[in-house]
Amino acid sequence: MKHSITRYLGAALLLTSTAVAQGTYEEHVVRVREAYGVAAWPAAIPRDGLPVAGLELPGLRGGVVQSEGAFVTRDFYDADSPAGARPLLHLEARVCDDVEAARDVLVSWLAHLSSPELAPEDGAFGVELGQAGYVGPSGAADKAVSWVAFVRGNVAVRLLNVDLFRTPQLDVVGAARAIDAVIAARPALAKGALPPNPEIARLAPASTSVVAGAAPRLDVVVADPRGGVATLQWRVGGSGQGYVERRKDGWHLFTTGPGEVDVTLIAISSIGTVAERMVRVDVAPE
Amino acid sequence: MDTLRRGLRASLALLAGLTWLAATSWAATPQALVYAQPLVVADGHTRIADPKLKGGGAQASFHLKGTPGATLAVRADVHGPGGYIKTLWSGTLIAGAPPTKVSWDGKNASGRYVATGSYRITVKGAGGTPTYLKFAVTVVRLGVTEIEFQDPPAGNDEWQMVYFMKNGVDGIFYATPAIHEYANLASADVSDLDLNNGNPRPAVALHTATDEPIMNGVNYETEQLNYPLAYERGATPRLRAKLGNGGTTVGGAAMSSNYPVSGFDIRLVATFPSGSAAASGAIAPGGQVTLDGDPLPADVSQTNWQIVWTWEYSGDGGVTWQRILGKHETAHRFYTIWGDPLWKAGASGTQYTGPWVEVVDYVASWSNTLGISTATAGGLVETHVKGFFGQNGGLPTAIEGVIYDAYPLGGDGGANHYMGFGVGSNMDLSALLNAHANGVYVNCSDNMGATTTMLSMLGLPNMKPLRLGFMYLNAIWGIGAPAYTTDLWGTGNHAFSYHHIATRTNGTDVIDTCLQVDEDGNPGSTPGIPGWNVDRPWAGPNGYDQLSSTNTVSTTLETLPGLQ
Repeated sequence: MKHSITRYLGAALLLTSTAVAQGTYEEHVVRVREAYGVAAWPAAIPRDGLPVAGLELPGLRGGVVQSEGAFVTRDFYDADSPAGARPLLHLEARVCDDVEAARDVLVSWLAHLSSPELAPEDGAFGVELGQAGYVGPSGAADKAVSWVAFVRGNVAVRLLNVDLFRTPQLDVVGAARAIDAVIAARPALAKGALPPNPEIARLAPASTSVVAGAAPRLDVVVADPRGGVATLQWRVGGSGQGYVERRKDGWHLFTTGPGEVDVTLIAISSIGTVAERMVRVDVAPE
Repeated sequence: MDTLRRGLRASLALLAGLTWLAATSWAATPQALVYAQPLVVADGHTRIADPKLKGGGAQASFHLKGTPGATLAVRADVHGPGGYIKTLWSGTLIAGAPPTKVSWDGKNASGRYVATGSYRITVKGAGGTPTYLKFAVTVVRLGVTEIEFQDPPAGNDEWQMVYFMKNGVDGIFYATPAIHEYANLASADVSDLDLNNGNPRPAVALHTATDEPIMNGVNYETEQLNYPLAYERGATPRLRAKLGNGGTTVGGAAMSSNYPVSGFDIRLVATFPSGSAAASGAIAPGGQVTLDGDPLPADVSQTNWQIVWTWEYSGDGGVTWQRILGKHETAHRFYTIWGDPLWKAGASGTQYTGPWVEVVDYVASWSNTLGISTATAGGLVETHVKGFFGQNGGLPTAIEGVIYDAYPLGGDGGANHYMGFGVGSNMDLSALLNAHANGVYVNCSDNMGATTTMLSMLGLPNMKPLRLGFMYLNAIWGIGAPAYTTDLWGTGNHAFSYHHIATRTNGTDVIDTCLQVDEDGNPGSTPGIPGWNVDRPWAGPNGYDQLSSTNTVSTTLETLPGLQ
């Protein structure tokens, strides 16, 4: 087990030679960019996103697509597992406006490796992912892979192997290869063009002034930029309180506390881009 | 002459009844009609009753007055608007014997509850005549359908609690409803106090899951709920209870609560665990009452209450009150936190509504298991650090079983699995608490993110991440690891490219749940003596900088991360 790790890690000991004065994140990132040779990563063209919701990985069943800011995440499960099973693979992806922003995402992942050793390149695992790819070997088992991160064009992807003690080991590298192929197959964006976001054409509550306990219906119209189906996610904040659920007649805001309720609709397009729109509902005490 | 004697005897009997009444807790203002011949004396009875309360019903007491040893065969029956209902008791009264008490459980001869209304308990001769006594009983329907827990008058000390999961998916947040943390409703039913078969609707059991709220299929349950409460330590909860509007007959028809009762006031009394009780003013169906409970503990902990709800009536304008037999009980769980929950500046979303149930439950549980008081800020930090790290004092594993992300432990070189960077810089605490949904391994940023956000949501002020620069390490014991090591990665490179810890003193003292330093005086080698990083000074010979590292480490204060 240890042998395989040292085989991958024996090459570069980048950060041990730079000792001190890396207190800030920005300083650290400068060192990481130098160490990984980011400036020398091959040129790339931006692609028309990553269809996260439509991803199909061999032997796996995809879970709910979620967003965290501009990041899109999705868990994958054993295709034969029952409902409630633990995920096997955790996908994080960000479809950026440009190539440089996507590279910054990959650098951020690399900069948060606690080990001072460089992560092995994907080539050591027999695969070439995007313009730059790195693999996190695990000490859990021989040839076990904990994570794979890569950037292709304007799309940054990281896969986490959730169960490193599973037998047989999940083919995380294979999953990364499949996702990379999906991105590579997306149309190239025209020079200067941005990957299109979903359009939230309408977000309107049946009433913007209700009494706590009321559940006004939300009229929602979202257009996917590629004619697919956007995934909707809700965030409820402000001084008031409530939640959004879908009922037979559509989405409703269920108010559970008085105040100003800020209802934010987050739409994740079929190509992994994200848009938000907020509406406020005043909720009076009962 | 006989008439006069009978009248005198009747007066004496009434006096005796009043005397007995004063000595009993359940007795009501006597409303019995007293017949003088033979002399069956009323001792008292329940004037207003709700048989659907636990232990509820009506009672009446009477005795035979006369020459000791004299006997009289009688029966006690219940009559209602439709006439005779059933016989409660029949037997022989003996003059000089203790009073005879009869009880009515509010049910008819078929064992089913009667409807609200006017009833009477009669004492008659064994053959059905003559009638010696008539006790009027008004059957009402009482109950609490909703309880809203509010801020105490002294301050803004109550917080809604947050669950981080829905249908097994972490990152979907739900806050307990501010309009009622306890609700016992069923809008599709005939009434708000009873089931459709006429039986009383049972109290809602306490929701004890800490990760997911009460679900009704794929949606949140909105009518039958009993959520835990969060208050700041030492606060006195204020409760606003909503009273039921009515009940249901055994035939499935709606029936009124049948109060107020002419000539009587009814009030609600809540008795709390300390034995203290709070009473409302006169109540009406569908109304609301506000009561103050017991003070909560002055630490971060879990406290369980059983509130006993009882009702009383007064026929003298509130000068004296008589208990309506029976009670209704509701169970409640309180978590106390240190102070106002603190979040990332400008953050918005349900996850920031209040403390997360699972987080407070963890800390309260750690405090109990480890025997560490959380009545001081230092004690709270110590509880968190030792509980989070686990592997001590009865805690066999670290929180959620996580392990430091090093190759010899099966990890991968310390990738962040839960602490996100870039847009938002959120800590994915929901995934960590969901049985380490992103994997069992954690790095320093994951631990820092969890520690700063968890202690902040409990109200501990000024929690901040502290980013450390490159570190050549001394012996350390990583979270989830079996022992100290001087070869963290198994490759001879015993160093951190960076490290993330926490501070609440802007770096003067530090908190680290990721690792323990070695306090045996020789920190560069194993074995070690565990050195918890509970507000450990950064500088000095026993400081974190010198115990953890062989080089002087640079530090940068950062801002509190957000939460996912």
